[in-house]
This record gives sequence, C-alpha cells and structure tokens, in this order.
Amino acid sequence: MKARKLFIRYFDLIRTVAAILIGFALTLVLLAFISKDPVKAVQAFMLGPFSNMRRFFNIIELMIPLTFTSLGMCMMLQVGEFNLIGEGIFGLVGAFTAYFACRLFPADFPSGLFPLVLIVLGAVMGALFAAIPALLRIKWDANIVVVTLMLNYVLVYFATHMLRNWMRDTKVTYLGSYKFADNSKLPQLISGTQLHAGVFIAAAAVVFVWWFLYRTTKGFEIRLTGSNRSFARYVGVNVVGAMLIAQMVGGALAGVGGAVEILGRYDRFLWMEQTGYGFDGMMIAVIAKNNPAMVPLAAFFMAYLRTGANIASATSDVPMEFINVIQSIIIILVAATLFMDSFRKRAVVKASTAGMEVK
Amino acid sequence: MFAQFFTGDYLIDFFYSIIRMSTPLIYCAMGALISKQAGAINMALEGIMLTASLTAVIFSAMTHTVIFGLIGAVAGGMFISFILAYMHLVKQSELVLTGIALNTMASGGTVYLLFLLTGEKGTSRLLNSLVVPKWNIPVLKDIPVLGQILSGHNALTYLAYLFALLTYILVFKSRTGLRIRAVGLNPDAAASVGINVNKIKFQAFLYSGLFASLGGAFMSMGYLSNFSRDMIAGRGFIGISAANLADGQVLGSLLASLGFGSAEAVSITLATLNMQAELVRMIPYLATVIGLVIMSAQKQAKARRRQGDF
Repeated sequence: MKARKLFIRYFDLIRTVAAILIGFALTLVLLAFISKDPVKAVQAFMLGPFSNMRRFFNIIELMIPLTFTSLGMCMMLQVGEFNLIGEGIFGLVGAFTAYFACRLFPADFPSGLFPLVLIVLGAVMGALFAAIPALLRIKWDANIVVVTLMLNYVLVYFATHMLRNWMRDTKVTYLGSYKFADNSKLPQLISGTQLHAGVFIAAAAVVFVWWFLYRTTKGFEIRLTGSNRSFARYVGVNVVGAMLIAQMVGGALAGVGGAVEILGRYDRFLWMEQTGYGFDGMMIAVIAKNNPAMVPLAAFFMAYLRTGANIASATSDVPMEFINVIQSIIIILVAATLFMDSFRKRAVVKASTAGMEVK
Repeated sequence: MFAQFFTGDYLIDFFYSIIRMSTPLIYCAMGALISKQAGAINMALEGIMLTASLTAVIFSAMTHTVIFGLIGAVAGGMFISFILAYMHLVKQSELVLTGIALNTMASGGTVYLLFLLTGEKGTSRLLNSLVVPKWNIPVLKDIPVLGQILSGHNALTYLAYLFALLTYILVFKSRTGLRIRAVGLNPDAAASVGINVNKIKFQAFLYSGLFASLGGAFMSMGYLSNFSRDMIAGRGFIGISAANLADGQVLGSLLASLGFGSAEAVSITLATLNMQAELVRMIPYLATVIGLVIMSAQKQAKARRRQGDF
C-alpha cells in the first residue's frame, strides 16, 4: 500500500531514474559492439571518473560551464521560450573575454578586479546578444528555435574571425590567441587539479536564479507568463517585459559561463567550433525540470557522463561521440510524458480499488 | 577583387553552384513543407539528413549499386523520422525538444557508426561508396551559356524538381494531402469528421523524412563523394526556414530554397576570392534569419489588417 503511494508520488523522479538506467543499459550495448575489450571500456566509462582525485575534479570542473548554460536555459524555458542562443553566446563571449584579456585591457589592470570586470562585461554582452532573438520573437513572432540555431553559427564564426584576425599569436604553430594577462585569470583552488574560483560563482548563480525565479515578483511573473501567457496578460502582467527580462538574464548567465570558462581553464583562446555546452545545458535543464535547485545534481550527472566518455575514449578504443547518443535517448525518454505511464495508471487504479476494499 | 567576379566564367560557375547548392535545400524544404501542412514542425530534419547521408554511403558501398544507396538513405532518414513521430504522437514528448535531441543523436550516432565500420571518425573515405551520376541534358548542353549552367548536374538535382512536383500532387491533389492539410488547419474539426489525426500526422512525418533523406543522399553521393562528420551544417534548418518562408506552399518553398542556395553560392564564391573566410561563411545563416524575420513580420501585419486593428 505505502510503497504504491510512494511510487505514485515520486513517479516523476522514478521515471527520470528509469530513463537514465535505460541510457546506461544502452551504453553497455553500444560499447560492447564497438570495443575489442568491452569490459575495459565500460569500466573506464563508468568507474573511470571516480578512479582518482584528478579525474573526479574533472567532473567538478566540467560542471561549472554546464551549470551556467543550464541555468540560462532554465530562464528561457521557464518563460516558455525555446531560445537556444546560449550556445553561441557562450562561444562569442568567450572570444571577447579572451580578446579583452590578451589585447584590449592593459596588463597592469588591478589584479583582484580584472577577472571580475571581465565577467561582468561577459554578463552584459550575453544579455545583449540574447535580446536580439528575443526581440525578433516578441516583435515579429519569428520562429525562435530556427533563428537562434542559425544565429549560433553566425556567433561562432564571428568568434573564429576574432581569433584569426584580432588576436592570433603568430609565434605559435597552432591557431591560438596571445596569452592572457596573468592577473586576468581566475585563481586556481587545488594544486594538481584545474579547479578554479569559478565554482563559487557557479554556486552563487544557482542560488541567485532560484531566488529570482521563486522569491521575487518578477520571477513569479516570468513563471506565470511561461505557464499561461494569455492568463498572465489578463491579470495584468507585463508579458513582453517578462519575456525580455527572462531571456536577457538567461543570456547573461551563458555569457558569464563563457567568461568564467575562458578565465578559469585556458591561457589562450582556442575555440574554433561550437563548444556543445549550450546544448548540454538545454538537456540538463530538461532533466532538472527547469528547476535551478535541481541543476547542480543534473549538471553533475551530465558532467560525469562526459568525463566518463572522455576517459573511455582516451584509455580504450571507443569514440567519445557515443555519449551524444546516450544523452539524447535519456532526454527523449524524460521528455516523453507518457513514457512508463501504464505503470503509473496501474498503480493508481490499484491504490484506489485497494482503498475501496478496506471500507 | 570584385572585377574578377564579374567575368563570364565566374558568373557561369556562380549560377551553376546556385543550382547545386540549392538541391539539398529543396529536398529538405519539401519534407519540412509536408510536416508543416500537418501542423507540426519537423525539427529533426537536420539529423534525418545527416543519418541519410551516412546510410547512403554505407548501402552503396555494400551493394555497389547507386539505387540501393538511395534506398539506404531513405531507410536511415525514415528511421529517425519514425522515432520522432512515435515519441511525439504516441508517447507525447515535446516536439521541438525531441527533434533537437534526435539531431544530437544523429550527430553522435553517425560518428559512432562510421567508427564502427571504418575505424575513422572524420570521413567515410575508406568505404568504397558510389556517387549518383551527372546528367548531360541532350539539347540543352550545346547551348553556350545556358547549357553550362543548367546541364551536367547530378541526377538528384534534376530529380529534386520532380520531387517538388510530387510534393505538390501529394499535398494539394491527393486524398492523403487533403487530410494532412485538414489536420494541420484544425485537428479537432478533422477528428470530428472521422479522420484519425495521429495516423495522418504519423504519415506526414514519414513522408517528411523520406523527402529530406534524398537531400542527405545528395550531400554524400553528389555534393561530396563520401560522408564527413556533421556535413549537413545547418542545411536542415535552412530547409525548414525555406518552407516556413513560403508558408507551406510548394513553389514558394522552391524559390526560397534557390534563394538560400544563392546565399551559399555567394559564400563559396567569395571564399575562393580570398575574402575573410569566417565572415563569408555567415552569409547563408544570416540570410536565413533575415528571411524568416521579414516573412514573420509580413504575416503578422497581414493578420493585424484582417483583424482590423490597424
């Protein structure tokens, strides 16, 4: 009886876990097909990330950019807009941050202030970039998914253009920017790992987004607009304002993510294509059901998958890309409202008929 | 630099490449059009085309027959389309999200399959795959300028226009098409006269996948002679935009595809003239955004006028 009630109450969570388990089961199949030594590949994938301190911190390091992009996506999805510009913003703000850090700002800029200024600039740029598709959507009702996917190509090509023409260091053989000014970088926290102070900014961002969405009037208006636009308009919410603010905050978060990633983990700008963090961020937001409080957990899971895949492809004979297949299967199952619904229905029916028998 | 561009040979090359670059967009736009008429945007077309371009290569290499390559492409593309239709219509998943997830899946899955078969992650050059032959049109090819532009294209390029005609017949002249449009216009009204809405939408998704798959096949069996990772590069979305731009009409989608094809041709031609490579590569994507915005703005103005707001 009690178990059944718990099953019904936590059905959403159970469903998500089931989707993840199916994803893992399929991983085993994919790895078994492609690897000559499947046991080793599976071990590397599943246990690799926990096998030593450095690898474990790889997960945490990867969580930082994913947290920012998925928080940004939570903002977009909470207001009901499928705005995918986060991917492009992450890359382009990264490029601008790099440009500021290696060319524009004087190298003797006050030390403590330097990264902070760059991150704030990143937030401003992110908000402005996100406002473009948001306005196109609000003013002219343009299909935001297609517009943002196309703009992502434009933004990332522009980032590469900046790398090639504004800040390329011709003294190195590969295509990379000049070295960033030393005092522009975020401080490293633990020696032997790449963990940097960005982790605190990410934690602060989680709290901020949660507070903004669930504890402020604006946040309430945003959620109301997202769940029922007509109703929100009817009760006097400034729907256009809510849509614009939510998406600009979302863009700002992606921008901060790009800046933090560049200042924390790189000393030259090297990105030549989409980083993929934006799309991973969308998937994390979906798993977290757009709830910022759940983002760290979901981001940890996604970072674990990526790190595991990385280790598996480095230490055995499997290509990293298999993880995209697993991720999308999990997402599709989580997004499918009726996935496992027959179990829930059966439990509900049994619970209610059992109630009758007692009487 | 631009003077060189306006010489005869360059212009002929340019117009030739417009027709060439438009081919995958036409197929994709036709696929997008069908699902749009059924009232659903098929966001997975990008992944469908990518999958199709890989399965085309695999099947043609295995069977040493061009036609089986095309069949393979259609099978691969329709498989993805089937998953989309099943998850969306039967399991009620969010359409856009599922489409995007399927694109990610195709992007990773094709590399996985490629690695499984050849041990490489970049291209399928180790597979001995075929290309669809080029057709020289008998009389046309002897006409000086016109022949150089219009003749000697890949067979799939000419077939694209045939498929546009087929799309027209399917959507606007057949029973299925009537039902598809009825479902798209008003699902409840369609259901009330006994049309199985889900079944019709399912069919529309499958047709959509079929048409777009041929665009994918063109990419790996015509445009290039093998598969390379992420080779669709947004063309699926550009095709969707073309269908949106024309509001689901066949001729309009065809013209929009040629328009976006021109943007790609400009981009490629300018790249050969040593222009800033990255800036030039933005052109097709920017053109798509601008086209979409103009279309939406016009549509909105028309809707307002109808309501009498202005």
